Amino acid sequence: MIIKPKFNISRRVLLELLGKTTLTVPLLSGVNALFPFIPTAQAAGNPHRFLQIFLNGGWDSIMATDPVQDGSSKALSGKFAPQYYQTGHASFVGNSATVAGKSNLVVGAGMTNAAGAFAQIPTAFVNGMFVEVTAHELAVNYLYSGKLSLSRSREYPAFIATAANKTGGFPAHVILGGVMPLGDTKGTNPPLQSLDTDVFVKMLAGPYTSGYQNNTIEAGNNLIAALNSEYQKNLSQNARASLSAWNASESGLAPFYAKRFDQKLAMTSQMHTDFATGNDTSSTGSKLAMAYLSLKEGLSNYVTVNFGGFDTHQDHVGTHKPLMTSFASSLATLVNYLNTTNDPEATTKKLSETTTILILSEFNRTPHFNGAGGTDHWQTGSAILMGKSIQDNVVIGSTDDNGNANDYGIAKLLPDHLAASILRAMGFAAEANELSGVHLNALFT
Amino acid sequence: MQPFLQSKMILLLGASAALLSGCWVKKTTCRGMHNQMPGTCSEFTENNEPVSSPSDGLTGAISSGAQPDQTDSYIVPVAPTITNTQSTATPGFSLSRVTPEQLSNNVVSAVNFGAEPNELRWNDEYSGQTHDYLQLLFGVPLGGIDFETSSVRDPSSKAQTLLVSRVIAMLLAQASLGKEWDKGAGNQIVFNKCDFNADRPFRDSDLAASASVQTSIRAGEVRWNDQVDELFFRFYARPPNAAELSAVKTAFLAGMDTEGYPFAGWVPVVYALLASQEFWHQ
Repeated sequence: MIIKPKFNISRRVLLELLGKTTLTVPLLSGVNALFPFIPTAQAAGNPHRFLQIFLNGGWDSIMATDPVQDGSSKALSGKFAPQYYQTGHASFVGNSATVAGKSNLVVGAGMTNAAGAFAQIPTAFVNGMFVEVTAHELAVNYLYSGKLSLSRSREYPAFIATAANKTGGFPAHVILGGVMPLGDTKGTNPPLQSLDTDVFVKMLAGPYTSGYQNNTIEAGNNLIAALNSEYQKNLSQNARASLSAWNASESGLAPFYAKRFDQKLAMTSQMHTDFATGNDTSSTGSKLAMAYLSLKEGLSNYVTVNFGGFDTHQDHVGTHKPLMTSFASSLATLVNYLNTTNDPEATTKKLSETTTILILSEFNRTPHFNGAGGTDHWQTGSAILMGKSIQDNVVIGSTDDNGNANDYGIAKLLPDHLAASILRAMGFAAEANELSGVHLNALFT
Repeated sequence: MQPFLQSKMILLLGASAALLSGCWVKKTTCRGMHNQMPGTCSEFTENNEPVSSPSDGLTGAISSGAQPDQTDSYIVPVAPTITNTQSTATPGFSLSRVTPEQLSNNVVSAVNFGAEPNELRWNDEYSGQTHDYLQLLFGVPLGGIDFETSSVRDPSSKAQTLLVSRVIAMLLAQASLGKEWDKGAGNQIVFNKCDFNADRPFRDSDLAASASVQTSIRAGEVRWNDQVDELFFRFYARPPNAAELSAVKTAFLAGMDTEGYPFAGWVPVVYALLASQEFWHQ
């Protein structure tokens, strides 16, 4: 029987579970005692930044965090395509690799370019999450929010509020590379999102890179204010009310422009080379470089980057592996930059020490190939956690010889648990408990 | 596809902007935002006296509806005091933001930019589809991607919608003005009521000029006023009221004197009209 812990658990059941499983359910009344860093996690001078990288489409965990070793029971089960074995089939997928100095972390052929990055900073893998659904939109929402619901926001409201406080209200969240359906947070703490980095920087610059002098632009800005004032005089009550959001944003525009984030987020030629942007403003490298700059310059301490193309129902090896390999290279560069850049707020620490990085996808792919040489959706999920608060060289969860999620302790490992644990580790116990009372202790310091 | 179209858009607009800025940039005394921007320096009047703080000057003029004196203190334009009059009318209907498609259509009507090939739209002969540059470039911040995904479009205005509106307004102001300039004297479509290289409002310092010069300037001012009417009809289907005309004059003269040539005075005007709430809502 599968027991799914509930957040409002009784003390008696808690003691039973603690004796039987490695899952830790915190006493609700004593959360602060268990996690003493919570009160200071978001305090001034002690930032906790969050970088979320989502590979849309369903990534192949076998190429990432859960490779098949040659001669293993998985390999001998007959359920996995031969292309995934470590030896004898290197011309297809290639070899897996153990991260240097971290014997528990074995990466698949698609992630070997990032093995060096995993060796640099605390890294943990999560395998064998049970993802109940394999429809894209619903699964994306589930993995983002920790709730199996289409209406759930893909942002974490409590963290949004904290991030907004840091930036004076806007942006609360930087989203690069895709549209993110939002919940109620879009009205109170709006994000800044863009498909590509060029438009992203243009939005930050506004009219100030037009080549005209600031006095000319200010004359235009003052005229806008005058025209809007006259316009609203003749509006009805409801019409005027419908402009309240626009008016509120306008009041903060001048100080926002004055920060000249467009100049601060300009990529150097060295960055273009290191991140292999190819001068393509929507490339993987461009987006990760912009994510780094957003954290470095304090634009927001909550950044999400979306990448697409991983839903390879055809020609899986020819399409998916290059995509993941390219991402792994860019990820390695990103980690290197984070590891060598001081945090703008806690200047004695590096950004890699103040940022938690989460890399995941909505689900994994089938261990076998379909008739078109591709793979389909599979009911498991994996994730990579790096950086602040992460326990190093840890892998939790696993899959069986059919590629299905094994029990983790006495129950299935769920995306709810992962999301709740991350929120709790970042100091949002109340929001975490709304998702799940389970805390994946092994993942965090 | 997107990077290709984006590069075409940038080339087109960049060429327009370069044409504008490269031909008529003249020496100016100073620029800056009075310590709000890095690298600022002090502003000086024509008499080489330091200009007072931005809080002086035209504060309150817009809200009172009074006509401000045409002094040379316009060199440092200041934000007007905004006073909203409480309406006693019925609650009425709410406004909604224009869709990206409506925005593109309105731009064509307002500044005659976008209807011709490779201005705002690009026809893909292989798919039979017409793509819109504004939507391709700014789809997400405008609340949607393109017509193919309009079912998930978010019509609400977020903070970044405002940021996008300012970017689009300045890009299109430059591009449309550049297009008008390229048509050559007397062939303008939008600026057909005045000589946009010469006509401007009369100001106090013109009193020192000869009578014939003053007469010429005043005649140009009449044409300039007609041009402002033309712009308001194009943008808002109505003429400007006195306060709006006054505000346009202030912005025009500030732009003209800052950049050093009359045509540049239209830049802040067209930029503001394109960025106004009235243009973005219906």
